[in-house]
Amino acid sequence: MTETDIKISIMANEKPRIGVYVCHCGVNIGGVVSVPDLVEYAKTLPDVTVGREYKFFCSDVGQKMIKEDIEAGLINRVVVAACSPRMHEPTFRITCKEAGLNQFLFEMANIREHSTWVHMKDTEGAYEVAKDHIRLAIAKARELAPLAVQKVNVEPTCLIIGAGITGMNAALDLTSAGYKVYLVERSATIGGHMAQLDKTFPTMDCSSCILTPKMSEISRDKNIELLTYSEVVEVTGYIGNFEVTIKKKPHYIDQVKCNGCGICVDPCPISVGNEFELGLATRKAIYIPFPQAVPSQYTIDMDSCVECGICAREDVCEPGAINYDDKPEFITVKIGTIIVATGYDEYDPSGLKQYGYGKYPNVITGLQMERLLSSFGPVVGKPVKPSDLKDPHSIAFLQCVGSRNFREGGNKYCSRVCCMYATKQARQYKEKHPEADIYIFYMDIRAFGKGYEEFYESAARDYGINYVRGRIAEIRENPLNHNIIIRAEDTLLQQPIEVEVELFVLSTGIEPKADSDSITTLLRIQKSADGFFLEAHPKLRPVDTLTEGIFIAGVSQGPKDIPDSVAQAKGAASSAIGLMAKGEVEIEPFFAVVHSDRCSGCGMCIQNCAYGAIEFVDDRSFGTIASINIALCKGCGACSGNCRSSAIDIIGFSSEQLHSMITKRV
Amino acid sequence: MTEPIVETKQSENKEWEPKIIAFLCNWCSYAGADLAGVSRIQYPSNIRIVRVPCSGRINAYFIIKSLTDGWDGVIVSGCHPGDCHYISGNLVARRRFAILKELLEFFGIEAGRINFMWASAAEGERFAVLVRKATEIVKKLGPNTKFDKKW
Amino acid sequence: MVKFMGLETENKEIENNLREIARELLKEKKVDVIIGYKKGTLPLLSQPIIIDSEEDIDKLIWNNLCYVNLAKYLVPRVPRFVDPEKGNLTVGVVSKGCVGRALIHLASENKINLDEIKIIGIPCNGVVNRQRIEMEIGEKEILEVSVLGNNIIVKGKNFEKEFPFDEYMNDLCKVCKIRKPPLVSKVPDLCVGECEEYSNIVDEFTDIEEFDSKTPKEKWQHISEALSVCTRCYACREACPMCYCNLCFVDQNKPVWFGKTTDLPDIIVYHLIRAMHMAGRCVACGACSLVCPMGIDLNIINRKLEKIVKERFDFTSGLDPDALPPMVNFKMEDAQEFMLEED
Repeated sequence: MTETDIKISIMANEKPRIGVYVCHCGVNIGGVVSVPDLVEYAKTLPDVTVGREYKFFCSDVGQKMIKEDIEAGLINRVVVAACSPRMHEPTFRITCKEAGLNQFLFEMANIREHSTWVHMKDTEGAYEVAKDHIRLAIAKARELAPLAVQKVNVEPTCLIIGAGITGMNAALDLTSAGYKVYLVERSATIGGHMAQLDKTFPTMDCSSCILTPKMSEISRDKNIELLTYSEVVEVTGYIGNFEVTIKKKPHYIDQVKCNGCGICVDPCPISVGNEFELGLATRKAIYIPFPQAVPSQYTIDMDSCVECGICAREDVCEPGAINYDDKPEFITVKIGTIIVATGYDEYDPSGLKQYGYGKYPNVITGLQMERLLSSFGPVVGKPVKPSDLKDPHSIAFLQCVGSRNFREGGNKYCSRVCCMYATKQARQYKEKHPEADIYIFYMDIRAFGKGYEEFYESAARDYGINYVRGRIAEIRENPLNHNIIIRAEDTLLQQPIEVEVELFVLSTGIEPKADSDSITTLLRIQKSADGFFLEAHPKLRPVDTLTEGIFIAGVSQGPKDIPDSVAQAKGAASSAIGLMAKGEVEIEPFFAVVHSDRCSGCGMCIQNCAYGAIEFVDDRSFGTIASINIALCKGCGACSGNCRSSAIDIIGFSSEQLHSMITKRV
Repeated sequence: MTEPIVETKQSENKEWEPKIIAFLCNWCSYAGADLAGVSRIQYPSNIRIVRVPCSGRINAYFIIKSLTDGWDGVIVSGCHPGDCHYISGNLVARRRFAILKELLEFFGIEAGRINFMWASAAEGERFAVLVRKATEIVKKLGPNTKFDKKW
Repeated sequence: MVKFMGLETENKEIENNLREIARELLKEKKVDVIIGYKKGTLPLLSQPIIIDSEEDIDKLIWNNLCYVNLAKYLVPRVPRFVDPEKGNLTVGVVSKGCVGRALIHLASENKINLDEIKIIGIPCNGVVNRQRIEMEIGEKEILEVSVLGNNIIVKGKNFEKEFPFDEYMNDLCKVCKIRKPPLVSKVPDLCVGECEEYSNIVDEFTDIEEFDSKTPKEKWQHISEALSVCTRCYACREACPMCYCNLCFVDQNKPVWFGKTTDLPDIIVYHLIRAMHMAGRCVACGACSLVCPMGIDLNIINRKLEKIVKERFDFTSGLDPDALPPMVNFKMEDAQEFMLEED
């Protein structure tokens, strides 16, 4: 028996002496219900020996009050009535631990999120709820048992899903700290959306110039296993010990044999729209996403390929790398931590019929404008009107397309980049075409970042870009020249205006990836109402998810610009490094246990267990019964929920604990 | 021994208010209820929240025991199908709840006292709306007296 | 000739066949022991019998009074089915449809190894609703019962009464769709005698339509009245082949989930939870109702359960030992119309 075991067995046999600590939480609780009354009430309940109130129990002083009571031997169970356990349960567990009390002899009553905050105008009701929650917590506390913490090793390997600027930065930070990284990217190249951008606001530095060195750094790094054109298909396990299966999609080209000469591209007879150029150019069925792609690998798009066999001819592909029968490959790796950086989709404005996107040739999206401005884009940085491929003499931008729309089906959030990218694109065009008329129709200009306001000021002042505050009422096309005629109201001047422009750019916003559900299902993480991944706490844990060991970063968590994405990447990387550097984590010892004498061996639980954590064993006294493998058990309780004879119980949420809460007896 | 301890005495002029026990899964619905709090979305003060790891943890015993012990209603809320933190706990539970609900109806016990729902960690608003709805249903049914004991 | 304690039936042919098969099984050592029915010590009853030698074969009977679900004796095995040296004996089980279903379902719960039994299949045309007849006869002593054609003839001192069989049959038998034990394709020699393959069982559940259409108040009144006489003797549990838990939930402490009294709420809860436990497992043998000393009709609950699992999950218990019972299975697209939704 270790010292901990002895201590635990002593604690388990003691009669409960419960200390109840009711927190004012400033005015959050104390301003709605009478905390002294709650304390008095708690003291009337059985086994409660100490009741105290304080402004903030989570503070040092507050924690010290609890510690002193433990150390003085007044109490051996702690109930804190305050905020959500999802907020401060870890805090108070540590308090208990530091005072020498087993950390699992602690229970929290949520009287803030679940009472005073939701019944602010019903103070009587809030008081009743708070009372009951305290009583329920005490009821559970009486049934608590000391537990030994479980420690599990953390595999020093990180999986990063998505190799845009966020995923790449996180990967480099991780390898520089000495950890192995599996960087999985579903498209054929890394770089993400940033590779499509020409220049970046507000510094106007060339996107490629800062991105491509990072890309090649990634490809050089021996500690990064770069898996492009691959997708994560299965994730099992838990923090520190994930098992991840990755599907490497077939390139139909032997990547070892292929020398990247690119001779196969020209003879290919199939041309399709180029995703990278957003349909502004074509590519062949055998292709490389863009010239600077990393890895520099060719792929056959089998959805378009007709297997004509030209590229496979010896005179086309000398190394004989073409393989039409290529099959997907699956690899399974052991992973300690996961960072999700899957990025975003550009909002598709086709649904907004009033703006004519898809109907009039000279209406384009912001990202398309970016490609037109790009020096390695389809028109080598000299934007043209799609209708006649001539320089536009006038351009109008419309802001908040697909953002800040509170009507049915719209995205309510601000996409946070459109004001600045429209300003940037307008400036870029103005630099080369000072004579051009440029209008930006906006609701408000949001220039909140470092240097952004100055950038916007200068655009208006030094470049003569016309900012018009007002939404566009309607647009129509001039049938003669495909110009776009815009009618709007200038709400500052309070007068209607009408302008005719040659190019109309919709500053489209950012949307969660269309198939982000597959990630939430795969990783058991949550999404917030806007569809982006949900962080564990909006302020204090912005890159953590509710699933331990899994982090989120970049736009997959919410719209943000490049510096914010990179900052999050670094945050997520450092969180992952923290876990892996320790090498082990404590996990709650909340597992299923079998009461052998009650189990009849019907095997229902075995079928119910999603983790295969239950198996039959032959017990000498009870025959064939269920047995739990705690290495696999997650403590969900699906087994116990179906057990007819309550033969399986869940530590931490045991039948007796829940029973005592239900019976309301204390 | 088993008489409910909760004070059900109401002041004369006050309307009767049901007490509903709500089992919320830790990962979605409990977090959703927290979000309702953080967003200060107001809902009736009739529910008392018990945190459980997963809706799959909810044995029929818990629900029926809640009724026999004088709760006027029961809410069980879990993650939406496909979002379960434990892969399929909510789906196993869903079958259990379907059968329980039908059986209660068959026995003539007001099945409306028992309400199953899905609410994600992001759905504070939905959580509040559904709690409001469940409270109304239970309120209409009146106090739970079917399980009052003679002795 | 007056036959005491006997039952003259038209099933003689079945009975003869049964004895033939049993004799063969024992002779060819295909089974070590056979469990079947013998004449009861009272009219309107039969008794289980375990035989392991050919000379006892003629004690085997088959008639409409063979109520007991013999699967019960295999879970757990009665001592006669276990040899101290050889271990589990191979048991031939005289099986009407519901006994066969019970055996197959218990195999899916790992309680029976199908390699260790033989199902001696019998086509069953239903068993007599004993309680109903007894209730109508009242205090008078029944001395002789026979079934002739569609008539159950009950004789006693100074009285003779006839009951139409199709009416006085057990309610579950009236709607039974599985009269012979099901064939199990993966164990082809499991069944001797008459068995049948069932593919798609169609059941309209018209028999509980009337009850289902009652108002909650009427339902509660009916159920609470019917159950109020329950003395909690647990005969239903003891007769049920599916009730094999080492420790029944009603007998547990730590925690005591439900009261153990015969106060109505406790009775209701016992039957409600027992019903919950039978969902997707009940094989509609009606043993629970037939053994109830208070004559409580539990069949209606069992029918409802059958209906729920059939309609919701398209499941019929006891047909396939490899089929996952509905309570441990799930589908993403399971109906969830009962879930609370926003308006």
